[in-house]
Amino acid sequence: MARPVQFFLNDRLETVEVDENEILIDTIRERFRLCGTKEGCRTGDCGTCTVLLDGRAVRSCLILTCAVEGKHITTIEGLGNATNVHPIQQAFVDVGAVQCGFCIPGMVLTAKSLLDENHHPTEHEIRIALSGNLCRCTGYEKIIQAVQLASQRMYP
Amino acid sequence: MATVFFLPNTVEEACSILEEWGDDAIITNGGTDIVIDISKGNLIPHANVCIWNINELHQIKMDGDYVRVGGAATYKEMMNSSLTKEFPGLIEAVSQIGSPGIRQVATLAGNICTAAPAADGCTMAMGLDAQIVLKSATGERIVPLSHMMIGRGKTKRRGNELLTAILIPTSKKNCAYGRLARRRASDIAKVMVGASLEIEDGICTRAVVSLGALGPVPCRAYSIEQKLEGKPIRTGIEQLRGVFPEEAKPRISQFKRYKEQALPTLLVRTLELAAQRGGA
Repeated sequence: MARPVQFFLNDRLETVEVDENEILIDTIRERFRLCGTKEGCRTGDCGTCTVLLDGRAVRSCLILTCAVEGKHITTIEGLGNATNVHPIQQAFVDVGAVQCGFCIPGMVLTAKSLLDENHHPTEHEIRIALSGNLCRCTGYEKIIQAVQLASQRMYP
Repeated sequence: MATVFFLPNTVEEACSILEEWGDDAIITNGGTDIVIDISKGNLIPHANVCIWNINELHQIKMDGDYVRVGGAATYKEMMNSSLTKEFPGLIEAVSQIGSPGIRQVATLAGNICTAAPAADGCTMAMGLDAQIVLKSATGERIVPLSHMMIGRGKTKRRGNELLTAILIPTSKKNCAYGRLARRRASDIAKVMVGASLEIEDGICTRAVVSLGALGPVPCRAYSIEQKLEGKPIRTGIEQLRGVFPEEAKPRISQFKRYKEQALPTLLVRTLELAAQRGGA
């Protein structure tokens, strides 16, 4: 059985028919072909599938698509792109925080959710905010520096 | 088999759906546990009632001698509420659950109804002697959290009932939570202790102690409570050094010995912190 669901995806109202047990990451990647949202563990542990739900960072592997009826979902494609780079993305580039890049969409969206709520987070607050986003390359130091740089540039 | 999906906006609507579907319905909210079973195909419910749009259930408010935490209030909402912030142990417990992305959507009500062995929020709420409000289309009843979970994954909630609130007695503000885990985030603790102490002139008049990750579901440590009540709190805690609560029944696993060695120390540390907060 399929159920029609309407929600805002990157500020565009979309309607899609999904199975009642389909999870949001599959809808985003397979139906909308927005592959910036990465699939890691599918159990809510790694944070690579992070999207913004009404502005807050959540895991798209733990959300049923049917449940987002009427809500706003932002993926990394909705935050910025190659010609319109978001300040957080630019900070990640400038600091050199990206190695393999797989965790970065989730890191950037989690940072966006943090900085919206807290313009000037301490290093400790940044570490807590990013504690559910795993990175196996960088050792996190430069990612934290990138969030600090983004904070300074966005909220001087 | 297909699932019928419901997204009610009110408690009445949710209760009438549950009245019709009963045990064939599952209730979901943050989904941080149950959606994994669904996405893996291990669980295909007949009906799924997602309650996260029920605004009234997100409220955290005063209700007589209790703080009433709504059945859809998330851990993030609890961490931000001035009412729940008055229970330092509760904030210690919920702020260490999973990660921020989990706490954004996960709920204490879900933690309780899932009846998992190592549930931080549920263990601490039991240490606060929380009461659970279960509502159906035909009425409402209150069950002490200490009696709510009857086995792993099993609770006293009937199929037609919705957990609408967790009532936390305001008399339990001198509380503390202790947990031992290998990582500071995204880890399931191996030993959990929740405690609240009521202290008058240095004498412990009421103690509530709960244990998590030490049995099929969190449980009360009544034997410890008895050893504390009616005594000067400092003396009571001193007597507990090295005592292993008889209610703790760690199953055979690679962590059993660790749990047995660590629990008495964590118990005393948690009680000392609660006593300190109670001015003793």
